[in-house]
Amino acid sequence: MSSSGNSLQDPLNTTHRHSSEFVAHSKADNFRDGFTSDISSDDALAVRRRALAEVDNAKFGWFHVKACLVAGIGFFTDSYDIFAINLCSLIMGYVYYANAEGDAKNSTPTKIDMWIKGSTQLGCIIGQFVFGYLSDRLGRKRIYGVELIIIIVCTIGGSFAGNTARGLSVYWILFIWRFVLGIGIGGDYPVSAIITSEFATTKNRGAMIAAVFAMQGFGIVAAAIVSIIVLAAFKGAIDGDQQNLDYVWRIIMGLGAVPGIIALYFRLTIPETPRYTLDIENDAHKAAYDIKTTIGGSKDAAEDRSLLQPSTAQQARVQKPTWTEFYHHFKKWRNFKVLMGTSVTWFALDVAFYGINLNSSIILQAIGFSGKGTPYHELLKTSAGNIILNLLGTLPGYWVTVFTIDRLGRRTIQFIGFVVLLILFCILGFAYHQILDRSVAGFVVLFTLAQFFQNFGPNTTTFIIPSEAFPTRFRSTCHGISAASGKIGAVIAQLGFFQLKNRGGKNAFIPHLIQIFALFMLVGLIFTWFVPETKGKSLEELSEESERDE
Amino acid sequence: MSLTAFLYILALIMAGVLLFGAVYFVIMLTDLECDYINPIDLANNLNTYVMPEMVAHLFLFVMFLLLGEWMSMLLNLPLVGWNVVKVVNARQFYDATEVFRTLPKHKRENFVKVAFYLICFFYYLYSMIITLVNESTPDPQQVGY
Repeated sequence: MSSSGNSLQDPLNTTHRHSSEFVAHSKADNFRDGFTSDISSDDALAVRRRALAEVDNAKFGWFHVKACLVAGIGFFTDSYDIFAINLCSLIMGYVYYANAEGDAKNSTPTKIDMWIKGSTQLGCIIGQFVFGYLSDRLGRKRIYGVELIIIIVCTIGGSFAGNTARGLSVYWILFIWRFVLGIGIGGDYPVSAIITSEFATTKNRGAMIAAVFAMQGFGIVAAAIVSIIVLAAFKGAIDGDQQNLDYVWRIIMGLGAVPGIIALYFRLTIPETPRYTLDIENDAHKAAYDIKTTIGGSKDAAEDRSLLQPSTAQQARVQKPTWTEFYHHFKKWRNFKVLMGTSVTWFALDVAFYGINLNSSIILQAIGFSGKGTPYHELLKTSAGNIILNLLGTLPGYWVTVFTIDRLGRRTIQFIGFVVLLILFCILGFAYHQILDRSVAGFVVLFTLAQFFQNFGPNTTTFIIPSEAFPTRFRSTCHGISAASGKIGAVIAQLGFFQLKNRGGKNAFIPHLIQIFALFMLVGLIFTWFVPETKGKSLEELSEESERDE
Repeated sequence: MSLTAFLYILALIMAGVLLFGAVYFVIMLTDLECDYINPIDLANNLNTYVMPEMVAHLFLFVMFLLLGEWMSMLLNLPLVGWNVVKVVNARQFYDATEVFRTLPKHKRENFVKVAFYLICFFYYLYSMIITLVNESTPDPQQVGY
């Protein structure tokens, strides 16, 4: 019985040793007092199966919604922050470069602008690697609040940035704060995804993880709304003295910490995910207890009692992942191709995703929302235009994915996304000027469609698949690796392509950039072939598949 | 910043809160269906939020009326009427003994409220932007809608 259950429960074959320990101990115990009810390894397996079945088959309830909200706050803050820095960089130009000459008046220099925006992405790469590894090594619960604390502290710190007396300008200080902020945000990616994935029901897992990611859409809209409100509140002060805009950007940036502060308590008090407790810490009763107290549900009393018995004989045999094991696991092509698939597709997507935003200022101009006039007027119109742009394409894309992913499947949506994006980018890249000159509305429509299919497509699926496709002990590390390779693509797009944008004249290189994006979409399409379809399978089935030969 | 703009900002935030409240009601009702909570707990939980929601919505309605925002007022009129009828007939609270019987009706009512508050949210967002933009442009260029 214990040997047949091995592949399911215990890939590294420790159950054999376990069962003999159990038997010896329970005999001694029974001999001693006869009251302790020990579990044999058979019962442990049954407990594990029952506990996981309870998680997998739970009905969708308030617990799941709360889990999505708490996990999603990190992504909300991430996209709030990215939008906020775009706007705040604009505003800082008005404050710190108000006396520059000619064209440069009231705008932050390009180099500085680029580094301010790229700093968070750089920090993200580090955060994703480090926190991905740590959450496998130390447990999800132990580190879960930490990255949110980093985010809160650095957001508040950044909003207080100022010049040093000698040497570092406010931009430098902000860069340092935002770099550390990036580490926190990056840490959020793998840990939130894995926690959601391991707490979710099999039927709704895709939708739940997609909903967590979809909070990004709300973050952008919230940032734009907050900036409109703050600008409106300061209108009188700004029209009087332009330097008062200094208050505005600091408040916009600092308010990003508020959702995080609210969610912090819930993050720190989350129980450890049942799968980590079962597979890595081998503590079936603690897992069952955690499930009962969180997901709950009415079951009959007899099952309750057996599930909640404290473990008397069992030593928690901690089975931490090591790098040697990692190496041996991924030496096999069957396992390595999955990791390669998830990483390269995420990389290819993020290059285009962050790169296409270089165009948003042109779009805004095209739809009449880049006002020239007083600083107040211009900033107000930029925020309003961004809201419209995001509500049209990005936000619906996220939510269509949430509602269809468990029906259509991850690979289907990713294929559709990459194909449509390939076509759209080819059209936009090769006929850029023709479209712009002929019909501005057509350009906006194509751009919005591209944003829609990025989110009903690879952006969400490349986030979901790595959180399901790997065995528990590597899940978070591999998600971190995939996410980090994505962010490397983002950094290349922002730091690299940003420079290329104005080659040959202002905005003249953009058509070629879009053609390059089309090429990346082709690469992503090809590498999608390597990722598995994870719809409808429980996490145990998916881990078992990757252990099959052992 | 004029009072109207301030009102729309407030309305936006309140629409968000009311939307969240309506979603919370829907989820609590589905939790009851799945046996996650019992009717008494549900009734006690939801009844604390019924009156505050109605008062908040009524406050918004009155402010729109006083400040001359006719479209927004007309948008909210049906819901105000519905709430007034419920209060007059003392039917606004959830009754633990009846809630299983009337569950489909309550769920439908709350779904409609979610959709309504969502539409309101976007309408207030739009109105707020129009108001703010109009305040900062000189008269001939103002947008009328």
